Amino acid sequence: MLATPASEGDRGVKILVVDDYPTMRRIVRNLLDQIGFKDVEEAGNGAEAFEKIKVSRYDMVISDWNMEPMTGLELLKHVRADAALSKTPFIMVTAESKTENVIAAKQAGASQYIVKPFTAETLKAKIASVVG
Amino acid sequence: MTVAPQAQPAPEKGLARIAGHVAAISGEVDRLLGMPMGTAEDGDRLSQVMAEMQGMSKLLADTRAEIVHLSPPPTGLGDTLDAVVDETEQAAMEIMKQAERAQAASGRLTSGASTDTKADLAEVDDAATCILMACAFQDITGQRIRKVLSAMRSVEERIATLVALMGIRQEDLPQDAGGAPPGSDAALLNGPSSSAEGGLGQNAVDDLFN
Repeated sequence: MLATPASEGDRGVKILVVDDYPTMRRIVRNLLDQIGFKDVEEAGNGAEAFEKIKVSRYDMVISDWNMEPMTGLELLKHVRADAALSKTPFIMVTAESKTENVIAAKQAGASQYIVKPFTAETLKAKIASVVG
Repeated sequence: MTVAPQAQPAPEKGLARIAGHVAAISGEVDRLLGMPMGTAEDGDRLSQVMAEMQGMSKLLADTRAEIVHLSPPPTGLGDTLDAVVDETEQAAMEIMKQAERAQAASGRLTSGASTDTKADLAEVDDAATCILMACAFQDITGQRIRKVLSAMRSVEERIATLVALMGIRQEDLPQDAGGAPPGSDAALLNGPSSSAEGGLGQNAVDDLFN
């Protein structure tokens, strides 16, 4: 269990978790649940995620990078290019850990960057930094 | 400089074709070796030529044998790795299921919502045992991966031997075979990297990012 009481996290925040591995989606969802974010939806790739984002508004996107048919980086660029969505906090959670990847994500407008494998505390700290 | 890709036959067909050519050449050399000797004054030169040809014949036979041995090993390496992917996924799912069971029971105990504390404690204990048992996947997948590694090493050795037999040098090999153009988004898809491969830890990422 994480230290944060369940009541502290939520505040009606709706989160979209995007990853092609159901195991990783489940891990992130479990950690989010522990820190009080109960309103969580999932998508298996960037294209599926973008369809959901266009229809329903999300307060935060937590996305993997390496997916098909649309990568997390492409999803991020689509989100940032859309005036209605461009301010959405976007956390990249990825095994891609090279300097050029971090720089590319930052340039594309990622709010935070988490390297897999990550700890529950890291995820919690990054979420706290983007939801304020 | 990049070389325009050319239509190439399937590797197995190509190997069979090369093996056929080598067999034909080898047969021809054997036939020449079987021909009657020349006159006495040509003796020295002829025996020298004979030795050369025998060497060539042996080289061709070795090359043919190597090519024949290059065919894929009988055990399906791809199937073995597919099994590893399935087993690790199943194990991860099982471990998560049990961890969530333990979390639920411990949540009831801490919040005071538990109606049977002994049963909930037993549930946490049982979930922990199930997690322990699910970790047995590591033994099975480890063995499978080792099998694939040993097959890959033997193929690597055969190819190295064949390359040496054929006298192919490093500079003969085509440079920059495929791959995404540098600077493109596709070039950023490398998967996990160890620190030796230039992978950064979370602290280094934070330093770059913030």
